[in-house]
Order: sequence, then structure tokens, then C-alpha cells
Amino acid sequence: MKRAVVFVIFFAILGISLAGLYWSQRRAKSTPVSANAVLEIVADAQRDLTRVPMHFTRLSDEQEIAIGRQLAANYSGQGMKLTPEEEALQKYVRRVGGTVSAHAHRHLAYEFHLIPDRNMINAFSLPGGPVYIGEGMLDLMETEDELASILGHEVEHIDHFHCIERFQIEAKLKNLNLEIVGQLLQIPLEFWQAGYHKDEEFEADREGVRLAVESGYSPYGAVSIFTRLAKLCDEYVIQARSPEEELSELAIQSLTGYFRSHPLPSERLDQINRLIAQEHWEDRKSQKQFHVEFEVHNGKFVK
Amino acid sequence: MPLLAFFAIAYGLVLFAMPVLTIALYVRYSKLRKQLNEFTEENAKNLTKLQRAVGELQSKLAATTPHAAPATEKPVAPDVRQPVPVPRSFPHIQLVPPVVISPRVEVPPPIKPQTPPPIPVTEKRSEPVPEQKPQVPMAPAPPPEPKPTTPPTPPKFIPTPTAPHTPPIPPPQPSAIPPAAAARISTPPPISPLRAPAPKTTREQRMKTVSSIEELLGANWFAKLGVIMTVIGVALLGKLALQNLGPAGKAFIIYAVSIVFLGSGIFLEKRDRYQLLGRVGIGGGWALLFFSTFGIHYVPAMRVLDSGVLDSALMLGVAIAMGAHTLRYKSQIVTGLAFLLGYTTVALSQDTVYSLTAGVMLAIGLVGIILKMGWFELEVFGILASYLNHLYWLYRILGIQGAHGRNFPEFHASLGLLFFYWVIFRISYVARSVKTDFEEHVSTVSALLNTLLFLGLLKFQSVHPELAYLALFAIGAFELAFAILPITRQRRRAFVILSIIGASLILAAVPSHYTGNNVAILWLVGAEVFLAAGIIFEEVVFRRLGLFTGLLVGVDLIGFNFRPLVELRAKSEALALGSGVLFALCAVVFYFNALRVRSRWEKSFSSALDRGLLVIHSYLGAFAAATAAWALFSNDWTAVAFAAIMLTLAAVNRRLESRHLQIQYVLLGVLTLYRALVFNLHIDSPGHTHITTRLITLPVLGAIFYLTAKLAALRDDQEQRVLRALISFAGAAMFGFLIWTEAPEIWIAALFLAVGIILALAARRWNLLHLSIQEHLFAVAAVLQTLDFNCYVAGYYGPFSIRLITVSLVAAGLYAISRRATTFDASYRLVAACLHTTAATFLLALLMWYEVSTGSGWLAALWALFAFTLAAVDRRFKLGDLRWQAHALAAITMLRCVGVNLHSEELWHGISVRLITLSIVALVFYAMSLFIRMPDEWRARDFHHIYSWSASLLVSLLLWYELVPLGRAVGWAVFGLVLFEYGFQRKISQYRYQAYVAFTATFARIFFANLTAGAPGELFGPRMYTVLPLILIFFFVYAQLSEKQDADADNPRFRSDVLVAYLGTATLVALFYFQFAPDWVVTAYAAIAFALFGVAWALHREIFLHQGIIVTLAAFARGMAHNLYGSSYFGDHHWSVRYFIISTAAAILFATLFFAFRLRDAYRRLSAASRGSGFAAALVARPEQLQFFAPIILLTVMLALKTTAGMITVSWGIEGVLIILFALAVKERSFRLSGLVLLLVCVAKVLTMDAWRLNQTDRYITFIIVGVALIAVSSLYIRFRENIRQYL
Repeated sequence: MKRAVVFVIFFAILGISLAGLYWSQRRAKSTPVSANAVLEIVADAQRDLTRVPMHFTRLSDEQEIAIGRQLAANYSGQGMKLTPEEEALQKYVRRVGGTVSAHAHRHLAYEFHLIPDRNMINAFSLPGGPVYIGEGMLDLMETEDELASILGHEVEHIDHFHCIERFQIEAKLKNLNLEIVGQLLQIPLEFWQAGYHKDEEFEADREGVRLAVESGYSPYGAVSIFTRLAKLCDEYVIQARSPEEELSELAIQSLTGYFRSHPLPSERLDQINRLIAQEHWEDRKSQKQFHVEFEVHNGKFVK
Repeated sequence: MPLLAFFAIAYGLVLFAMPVLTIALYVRYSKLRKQLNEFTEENAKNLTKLQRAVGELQSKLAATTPHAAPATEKPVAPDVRQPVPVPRSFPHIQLVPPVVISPRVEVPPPIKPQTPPPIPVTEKRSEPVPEQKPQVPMAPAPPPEPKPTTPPTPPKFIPTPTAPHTPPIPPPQPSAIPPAAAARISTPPPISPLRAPAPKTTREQRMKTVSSIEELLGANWFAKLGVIMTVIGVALLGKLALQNLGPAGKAFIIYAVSIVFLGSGIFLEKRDRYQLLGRVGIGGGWALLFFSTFGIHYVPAMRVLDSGVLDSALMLGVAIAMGAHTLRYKSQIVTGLAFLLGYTTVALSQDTVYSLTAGVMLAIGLVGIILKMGWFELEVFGILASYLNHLYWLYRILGIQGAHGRNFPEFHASLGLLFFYWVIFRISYVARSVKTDFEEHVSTVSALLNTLLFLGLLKFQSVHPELAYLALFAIGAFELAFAILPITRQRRRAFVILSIIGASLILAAVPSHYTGNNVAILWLVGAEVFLAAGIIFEEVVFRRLGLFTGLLVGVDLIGFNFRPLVELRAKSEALALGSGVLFALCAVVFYFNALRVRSRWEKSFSSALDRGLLVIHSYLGAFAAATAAWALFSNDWTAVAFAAIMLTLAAVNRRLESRHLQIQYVLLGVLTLYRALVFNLHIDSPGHTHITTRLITLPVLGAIFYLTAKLAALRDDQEQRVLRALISFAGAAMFGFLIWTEAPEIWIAALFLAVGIILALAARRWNLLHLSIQEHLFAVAAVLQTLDFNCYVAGYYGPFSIRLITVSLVAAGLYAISRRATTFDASYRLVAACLHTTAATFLLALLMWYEVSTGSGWLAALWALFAFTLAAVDRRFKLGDLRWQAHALAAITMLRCVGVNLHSEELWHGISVRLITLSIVALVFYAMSLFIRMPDEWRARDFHHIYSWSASLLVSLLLWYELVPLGRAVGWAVFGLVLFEYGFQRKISQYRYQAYVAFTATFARIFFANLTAGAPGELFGPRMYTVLPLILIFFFVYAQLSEKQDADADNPRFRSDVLVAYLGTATLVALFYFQFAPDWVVTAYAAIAFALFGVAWALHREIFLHQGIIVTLAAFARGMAHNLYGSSYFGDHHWSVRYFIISTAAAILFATLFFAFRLRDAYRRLSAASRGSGFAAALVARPEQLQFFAPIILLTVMLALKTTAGMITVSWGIEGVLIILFALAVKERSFRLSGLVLLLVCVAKVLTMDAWRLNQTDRYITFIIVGVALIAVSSLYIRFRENIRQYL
């Protein structure tokens, strides 16, 4: 290349770069710095690597249900005493969950439980059917449709084999013998609360909304609850003030999110909106109010 | 009671005497035994010699006699047999003779077990061969046999003497005796007698020893004890039991008993068996006889004689007779027993002082015998008996406490008796003739006992204790008089003993009468008198007495005279004139002895002991001098006095060159220093207040120390230099303390440095290393003071702060003296210069720290400029240390920037101070990287680019802080581009490397901010406009690098063009990964692969071919794992998800075949060797294979997974036909085969599965289409048979 051409290209690229820099500086919304990209790539690779073998090592539904029950028995042994109000809430959850899970692909023994912890803004499921939802998550909800979308999401984690596949991988990594009952205790409860791979979360979102819609609920329940979660997520974004602070945060994120990537609520929201448009559910905006009625006699839940 | 007391004492005496006597006699017995053994041994040796001589004579006689004639016929055989091999082969047989000899022990009866060894020697020689006979019975026979029977053998025997190891004897032995059997049978008999005697003899000896002890006790000591007891019993009979008898009767009976004892003793002594008992009886008889003679006048119950004089004459007569008679037997035991019993009998009956005259008689007699017979052991007991006898008498008169100042009538008589005892035994000691050391030792014991007991009894009966000193003095004088008698001086030991006793008594007389300082003075006088006498008379004993007395003075000074002074000084600093004068006098005398006397009479004090004593004198002199100074000077002047003494000693030692004197003045120096530190500094006074005495004494002390240091050098060696240095250090310390205490605090540092500069200049002037070291210490002190005080001083002199002035002054001083801080030849001068300038630089840097407000960002810029200045000065004047300081300063500047400036939110006229200061620092660093001086080797290795790296790092960090998270990657990329262009145009590789690092960081950065930026589905959002420029930058850089491959030729292992090319492609891949929906990523990758193959073909860049292959593999993997196997288990709801995406991707990958075939053809010329081997090399060599099979597999699997069960076989059949067609078109055999395989799979599937499981419709459709496909393929093969053969 001639020197003049080089300089022209140089300054052109410099100009483009500076323009990009200028735009990024002018951008009103601050971009969060996170290890999500790396984690996503790694988790994606991990999932792709394990998915093929999973096709050929599938457990039967009976085996999955047995494992799920055993795990549920272990975790419920940790003692969760419900108040009458919580008993009413649990009854409400079971009713909605039962409605939603009736349309799942696989007919498993789906069970729905309330975790009486107002700080727990999460829900999770176990292989074979058990679904748990935290009281904190219920506190965020305003409509029954929102609850249906969340429960549908968790049902679809079971329905699409996310739970059992993850369990199989973990058991393989820990070299657990599934025939030995006590060995399942080595898998802690937090393992299930940590979430799934991004694609699986997307799939569960997508299929969960589909279940809710098929059960008579509005797909906008998912939109409203994900909007609320996105807002909550933005509140927790912390801007690093120095490179070392940023590095430490990234390191923590990398460690805690190893092999797991959570899609951003905004991305999940975008998918739901696209699904609504794709399935032409725009007219299903009406939602049922989140309403729990119960009676208490002598301090005990009656109805 | 008196009787009981007497018994007790007598029994005590016996008990006391018995063990001592036992030991003495046993020693004597052992000695005699030893002598006897020696005599016996000597006799045996003589006998052996005699026997040898006789043997030789006999052999000579035999040789000369006519018998010898036949022997001449065979002269060799006897000679060969006799000395040679037989004894050697059985060496233990030589020990047999003692057994043979044992009967012959009878011949020399007195010979004890020690005697046998010599005798066997003779026997061993005479009978070596016969002793073999029991072992080898056949051995004697053969030797004679061959000699007569085989005449030629003699010649064979002739050479044997020259070859002794091959004698003719051994051959027959093995044949005659089987070795093992012979050994077993023959050896035990000789061994048992051989081994038996040794333990037997030992046991016998042991038994004899035991029996001899038993005999000693039973036959000897029991007898003596019996006699003693009998005599005592008889004596008591005389006094008590025979009270009813009249004196004459009693005397008669006792005389009779004593005569019976004596007579029976004489009778028994003549019989060998009872000789000992008889001698004991003789002794006892004489003792009783003496007692009887004593008793007929002095014992009232027995008195038959009124005249004491007559009785004394009789006693003397008896004593003489006793001595004369007992001497006949020449037995110390007999004589000693007689005399001791005589003493005992006198002790039993003494009533008046005159009765003790019997003791006098005995003493006279005993001394006479001792002198005549040389039985000096006996004298020990005689002395004990005489004095203890007298003590017992005194005890009876005075009681247990003695006279204790009370007068008693017999005092003078008692004194006379004691004096007589002392004189008579002293005469005995002086007059004797001693032959052996043992006798001399015994005599020494006697001499000491005599004096000690005499003094003890004088003390016990002391009536005038205050006159004891006179007695001691007088006895000492007498002892000395005895010592110097000519007769005494014939025996050196006696002279020495008596001199020492005399001197000791005279010296002991002093403290018994005088106290305080007088004792020391009198002893000192005595010491000097003895010393003078020793010198004058050239008598070493007196000299040493003088020297030891001097030590005594020293002990007195230290132990008694020093303590009051310490107590006084603990209370006050008042003048102690008396003590001072005494110690001063002693110091003078001690030093006179140690220095003057020794040098004047050097020969007299040449022995090690004398020299050692004089050395101690000199140390005592030093102690006395120091103490005198302490006593005579007070307050601040004590240290001055110490120092003066130190200086004096140093001056004296300049001439004498005494190591000990040097040690003394060094110790005095330590003392001076201690005193000065504790007292002269006046530490307890308020800080920095003026004290006149301190102002005067400290410089005086400093000057004295320096003068002493000048004088202190015995030799020119390391030790002396160190010593000298230490003393001068003390001087320096004085001046240092003077400044510290008296100077205004703000100027202390400057003054320290001023003194240091003076010392440094002096050190260079006189080439004194220690002065330069002191300069270093002052410089350190100045720096420390500056750090501790000046840096914190507030206030101003005019427009300048005091801190600025003083710290700058110190720094300037340090810079100024840095090159002159050591001597010319000091090995560390460069280090010293470096340390000085480093300290100055440090102070200035610190000054900047304090002058600039805390936390300000400007400090880093100041430091950077300061570092720049230092580097510039170094560049101009070639001062290496400044360069290192510039480095250090730059390092802390860097730390400061990272630690403080980057976090600064400070504004200056609305502009960020962080931006300004870091820009300045970065510019300075870039400038320093260009011109800072470095060794050529370092510069060749680009060490100077540490600065440019640092600057670039700072700029990168600055960008991080000044830009938003999204823009940081772009900022770094732009910065890297600028660095690259500069480095590329100026051909500076380090800038390019920095650019590569920036690019790598940029690439990493996008994964944490840029790639996940923007809203979902946004095409030209922040992700795109921040990542796309990076890709442009990377490929632009690559374009320039790829044109000039030698840009990084200095590091051939690092291919920067490859790096940036991969960074560009990877960035693009990452961008597409995040930009597109997960399902479409595979298509995006396929598009990238297409582009890369196109670029590789268009630009002829193999690297893009590599990248295209990699991306193709990624697309394939992504399609298989994510799109096909990773999709929902329950089917995709949209056709695009099921078919379109993968089909599109496969189509694009197929499209790459256009480039792949051309690339294959283009690179075919490259040999396999240049590409390497293995799968990767094969992919590069045949890129069309991957580009064909990857989409084919994707499509095949897609059809299998996404279509309905009935359509799988149909679609595969169609696919197979299409593949074959394509293969025929591109003339590629592998493609064709894959189509065939696919069709075969279809056939197999139809037969095994579809035929049985599909519904009717699907089944026949499948059959038809697959069949058609097969036909079509068949026809194609027929049609293109020839072509196909060409490509087989």
C-alpha cells in the first residue's frame, strides 16, 4: 500500500472509531460490565457437549419420578412450618400449578409447594414433578396470570428434561450411584435454585407461556412479571469505580455463574413479546387478579 | 567425768590416728612391695641374660668341638628346619612353653607371676620343634627320611633358604594328616593348657590380694589395737582401779606389767610368726614404762618419788632407752607406737603444767629419732600428739571457749612449752636431710602442721588478743629467719615453704591490727619490700611474694576500699580525698611495677607467671587510676578525668606498645563514654537548653578521643585500625551529642552534615577511612533528623518555608559531598556517593510530598519532572547513581499515579487534574524512554522501554477512568492503533508490542461490556458501533504487517500479523455470536467462513484459509450440537427453525467449495513437508473435503431429525443422488462414495425398518423414491463409466 493510502485508511478508521467512542460516551444508559458473555459462551459449549450424550442415556419417567420424590423428601425434611395464610397461599399455588401442568407434554406427578421465605424471590423445580416457589416471588405478583407463567416456566424445566439432564450431569461429575439412596443427599438444595442454561431458560419461558395460554391465562402475565424482574435487576447493577474493583466483581460473577448463564430479563421479555407476535396472542391481555381467600378458626387454616 | 572425758578424747585420738596411720603404712607397704617386685624383675632379667649367654657359649662350644664334623655333610637341613616355617604356620604354639615351664617355677621360689615371661623366652628358643610333636606326630619322621633315601634332594633343598615360602617340609604334611581331622584332634590339648594359666594366675593374684588385706587386718591391725587397748587399760588400772593399793604398789604393778609387755614383746619378736605382735608388745611395754616413770612423781596416786627433777631425768632416760631399744628393730611402727603411747599416758595423768615436760622429753626424743632414722611420717604424729596433748591440758583449764582474753597463771609456762614445741619441730624440719619427694611432701605437712597448731593453740590460750598481730608478725619474722638460714636454703622446698609461711603471717598481722586504707598501704609497702628484696637478692620467691602481695592489695582495693566509694557516689558527688589518694598511690605503684620494674629488670621477670602477675598489676593500676579519678573528680569532670587517664595511657603506650595497656585505655575509653552518656549529656534536663559544662566538656572529650585515636596504633593491621576507628567514633559521638543537645533543633541536621563534611574532607586529607565512615554516620543522622523534624516544621523565612530551606540545604550538602565522602582509595566510594545522592534525592522527593497538599495529583507530576531532571543531569555529567534514582523516582511516581492520581476527582480550572497530571507523567515517561542513559547492552535489550510501557499502561488506565465502560475497548484500540502506527513508522518494536497488548486487552474487554451491550434484536446498536471499529483496526494493522513481514523480524517466534488477524476474525465471530439469535449463529458462522475463504483466495493469504477451516468446523459443531441435537425434544414449531437455518448454513458452506477448490489448486505446489502432517495439515491441504462433508452431514442429520419418520429415507435417497451428481460434476471420488454410502444406508433402512414400521403411504413412497434414486444413480454410473474410472 502506498503511504498516502495507508494514512487515508488510518484516519478513516480512526474517525470511525472515534465516532463509535463518541456515541458510546453520549449514550445515556450505562452498560453493565459483567462476565455474562464469557459465561454464556462457556455454558453454551457445555450444554452443546452434553446434549448429544443425553439423547442416548435418557432415564425413564418412573426413574425420574423416584429420584424427584427422594430429593423432595430430603429437602422437605429441613422443616418448613406454614402459617394459615401461607397454607392458603400454598393451596392457591397448587390450584394454579395443577391447571397449568395439565397441558404439559409429559404426564408426571407435578406437585407445587410454597417456601415460606419472603426473601426468596425465586422458584425452582426438581426432576419428576416437584415445583417450589418462594413467598418473596409471590409478593412481587399482582395477577394470577403472572403466577401461571412462572409455574409454567418451572413445569417446562421438568417437562423438557432440563432438571433430569442437569441431575444426570451432576451425578456423573460427582460419580454418584443412583441406585444408592443416600448418595442423592450430596446434591444441595441451592443446586436447583441456581438456574439453568440460557437456552433452557428461554425454552422454559417460551413453553411456559405457551402452557399458561393453553390453560386460559394471558401471555401478558409473563410480560408483566418479567418487566418487574428487569426493573429489579437494574437496581442491583453496581458500577465499578476502578479496574481492580471491576476485576474482582467479574471474578466473583465468573465463579458463581460457572457453567450457568442467566439471560437478562430484557432478553427474556423480548422473546415473550416476539412469541406473542408470532402466535398472535396480542388480544389476550385480560388478566385475573392475584386473590387468595381463606378462613381461620382457632388459629388453624380451615378453607 | 574427767575420766570419761579422757576416755573419749583418747578414743577419739585413736580413731583419728588409726585411719591416717593405716593409710600411711599401707602406702609404705605398697611402696616396699613395688620395690620388691622391681628387684625381682631385674633379677629375672639378669637371669635371662645369663641363660642366654650360657646358651650362646654352649652353642659356640658345640660348634668348635669335633662333634660338629658329621654335621657338615648336611649342613643345610638343620638350619632350614630350625628358624623357618614351622613356628610361623603355628604361631600360637610358641605360647606353649609356659606350661612346660610351670614345674620349673620351683627353681626360683621368690619369683612371682610377673617373672614367667622372661624365662619362657629362653625355653621357647631352645624347644620350638619338640612342641610340635603332639600336634603332628608324623611330622618329625619324614624330614629325615627323604634326606638319606633320596640323594638328589639335597640340591633341591639348597635353594630353599632363598625361597622360604616353598620349603620341602610342607608337601608331606597334607598327605600325612587330613587337615580337618588333625586340626580337631590335635589343637584342643595345647589350647587348654595355654588358656588356663592366664585366668588362673589372675584369680590367684586376686585371691592373694584379698587374703593379704585380710591378713593385714587380722594379724596386724587387730594385734596393734589389742595392745593399745591393753596399755590404756593398764594405765587406767594405775590411776583408778588400784586405788586401794599404795603408790608403791601401784607403781610396782605397772612397772611389772610394762616389763612383762616389754619382755614378752622381745621374746615374741624373735619368732617370725609373732614378730609383729612382739614389736607391738615392745612398743606398748616401753610406753607403759615411760608412763610409770612419769607417774611415780606426777601422778599423785602413784607418787613414790618426790623430786621432779629426778623423775624428769628418769623419764629422759626411759625415753632414750625406749628410742635406743626400738631403733634396734628399725621399725617405725614399733618406735612410733612406743612414743605415741607415751604421749597418751602423759595426757592421761597430767595435772600441772610441769607434768607436760614429759611431752617435751618425748618431743626431744622423737625429733632425735626422726633426724637419725628419717621417719618423717612419725613426726606428723609427734606434732599432732604434742600440740593436742597440750590442747587437752588447756581445755581442762580454760574450757571449750579457751582463754578468750582471760589471764591464767600457767599462761607463760604454757606459752614457753608451745614455743618449745614449735622450735623443736621447726629445727627438725630445717635440719633434716630429705631424699625423696614423698619425704619432702611429708615434711611440708609437718611444717605446716607445726605452724598451724602452734598458732591455733596461741589463739586458744590468748590472754591479750590485741597483741595477736605482734605474735603473727614475730612468728612470721622467725619463719622468714628460718627460711633464710643457710641450712634451710640447701633445701629449696623448705626455703619456699618457710618464706611463704613467714610472709603470710606478717601480711596477716596487718589487718588484725589495722583497718581501712592503712591495710592496703601497709600491704602495698610489704609488697614493694618483698619485690625489692627479690630483685636485690635475685630471689624469685621474694619477687613473687611481692607480686602476690600486690594482688592482695588489689583484692583489698576492690573488695573493701571500692565499696565505700560506690556508696558515697550513690549519694553525692562530693570529693573523696582519702580514697582518691589511696587509689592514686596504688595506681602509681601498680603501674610502676608493671611498666618500669619490668622493663628495668626484664630478665628477673621473664617467666610466664611473673609476666602474668605484672599484667594483673597493670590492670589493677588501671582500676586504681579510674577509681582515683572517680573519687577525686565529680560531676561533668569525672569523664574528663577518665579521658585524661586514657590519653595518658595511650601516650605511654605509644612508647611501650603494650597490648594490655591498650586494652586498659580502651576500657577507660568505654568508661569515659558511658560516663559521658549517662552524666555529661544531661539527658534528664529539658531538651535543647543550654548547659555550660556540657558545652565545655563534650568538645574536650571529643578532642581527647580523637587524640587518643591518633596515638592508638600498635601495628598497621586490621585490628588496630578497627580499634583506632572505634575510639575516634567515640570522639565523633561526643561532637554529635554536642550538636544534638546544644544546637537549635532546626539547624541540627545542617550542623550534622557540616561536621560530616569536615570529617570527610579530613578523611581525604589524611586518608583515614574511619573518619569518612563517621561522615557517613553524620550524614545518616542529618537525614534522620531531617526526616524526624525538619520535614514537619511549619513557618516561613520570607517567601520560603523553613522546611524548604533546611531540607534543601541538607540535600544540597549531600549532593555536594557525595563525590568526596570517602578516601581516594576506598573500595566503596561509588556506593557511598550513590547513597549520598540517593538520600538527597529522597529528601527532595519527600519535601515535594510535604510541600504539595496531601492527596494532590500534582505530586506525581512533580516527581516525574524531578526524575526527568535527574536523568538529564546524568545524561550530561555521566553520574550513574542519579540515573538509578531517576528510575526509583519514576517507580514511585508510577505507584503514586496508580494509587492516587487515577482516583483523583480534583479539578483545575475545570479540567480534570487526573487527566493533566497523568498526561504529564506519561509524556515524561515517553521522553525518558527515549533519552535516559543506559548501558548499551541494556539499551540493546530495550530496557529503556520500561518507561514507554509504564506510560502506555498509565494512558490505558487513564482511558479506563475517563471513558464509560462501553467506550473503553474502543479507546484502548485507538490508543493501540496510534502506538502501532508510531512504532511501525519509526520502526520501534516495543511500541508495536504495546499496541498488541492493547489490542489483546481490547479483545478481552469486549467480552465483558461490548458484546452484551444494547437491546435485544438491535442491529446497529452500541455493540455494533463499538465492536466493528475494532475489527477494522485489527485488519488494518494486519494489512500493514502482512506487507512487511520483517516488521517484527527481531522476534521471529512472535508473529504479530497472525495475532492481529486472529483477533480480527475472533472479534467478528464473537460479534456475530452475540448479535444474532442463537439459532442463526450457525448461518452467521457459515457466512464468515465463506468470506474468509474468499479473502484467502483473493488476497492469497493462507491464514484466512486456516481461519475459514476453523470457522467451518465451528459452524458444523454449532449446527450439530445446538441446532440439531440441542433443539426442543418436542419439535420446533416453525419451519425456519426446523429446516431453513441449517439449510442456509449448509448452502453457504457449499458455496465455499468455489474457493476451496481454487485454494487447493493454488496451494497444491506446497509440499506436505512444509505443511506438516496430521489432521490439521490434511484439512489445509484438501480444504474442499471439509467444505463438502460438513454441510452434507448437517443436511443428512437435519433430515433425520427434523423430517417425519416416513420421509427420512426418501429425503436421504434424493440427497444421495444429488451428491453423486455433484461428485460427478466436480470429479471428486470421495464425494461420490459418500453418496453411494448414503444410498446404501437408505437401502438398509428400508429393509430393516421402513418396510415394517411405516404406514402404508410412507412405505410405498419411500420404496419408490429410494428405488428411483438407485436407478438414477445406476444410470449415472453407466453413463459416466469411463470418466469414473479415470477418477478411481
